[in-house]
Amino acid sequence: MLDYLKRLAIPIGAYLVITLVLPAANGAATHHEFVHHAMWVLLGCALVVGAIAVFGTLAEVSLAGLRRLKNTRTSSRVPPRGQP
Amino acid sequence: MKKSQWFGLALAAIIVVAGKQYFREASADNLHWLLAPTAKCVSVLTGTHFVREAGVGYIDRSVTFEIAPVCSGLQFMLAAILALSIGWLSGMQSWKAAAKRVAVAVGVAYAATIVVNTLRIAIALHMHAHDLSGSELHRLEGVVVYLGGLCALYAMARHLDERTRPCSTT
Repeated sequence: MLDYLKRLAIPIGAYLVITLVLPAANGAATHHEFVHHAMWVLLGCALVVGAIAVFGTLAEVSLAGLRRLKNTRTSSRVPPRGQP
Repeated sequence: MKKSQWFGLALAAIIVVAGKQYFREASADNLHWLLAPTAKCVSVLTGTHFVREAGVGYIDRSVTFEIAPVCSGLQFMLAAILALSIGWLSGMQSWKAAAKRVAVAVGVAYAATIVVNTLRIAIALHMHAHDLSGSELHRLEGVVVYLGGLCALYAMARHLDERTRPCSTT
């Protein structure tokens, strides 16, 4: 989860700067509607991060399984030359 | 961080702040450059017929839906410019390279805005047709599609950048 957050920090940060930080800096934070808007933005962020973490983990597990299937070696120990 | 990288970052910040200021005062006619291609793409994708209405935006009365200036996606475009510029900072090794990368970020962000906004409006139209068009749900759908699109765009841009960057000689 932390790994995904690190990878997504820049796009999420950029989105939050545009939708929350800059309007707040322009004085929008005093409006009641802004708090409401911020709540929905943060909820949306949590949903996206959660979805990416779940689907990302599933993709990684599936790819690891596929790689294991592709590897035809059944033993990690390779016998020396001349030995069966 | 190099001076050229600071320059690239400053350039992106100026574009973003100026864009926010422009968005606060922009009318539907001012945002024609974003609304027109989006309305066209939405019409093609969903089989609707959005037409321009001066001072309002684009309207399709048969589906009772309006693409207003607030739906232009300019906020997404600014966020994309910022994210791409930060993501491409490592390639800004000279002033020229920094200016070039920020310019490319603007172009890519514009194209991505049309695509993501078309998708967002198409989903919103579908929700509207199925009586799922409450303002809160519409807002949440917007945040999820925009942020998901931004994360996907950023991941693709980073991937392309890493693939096209020349190998360093040691």
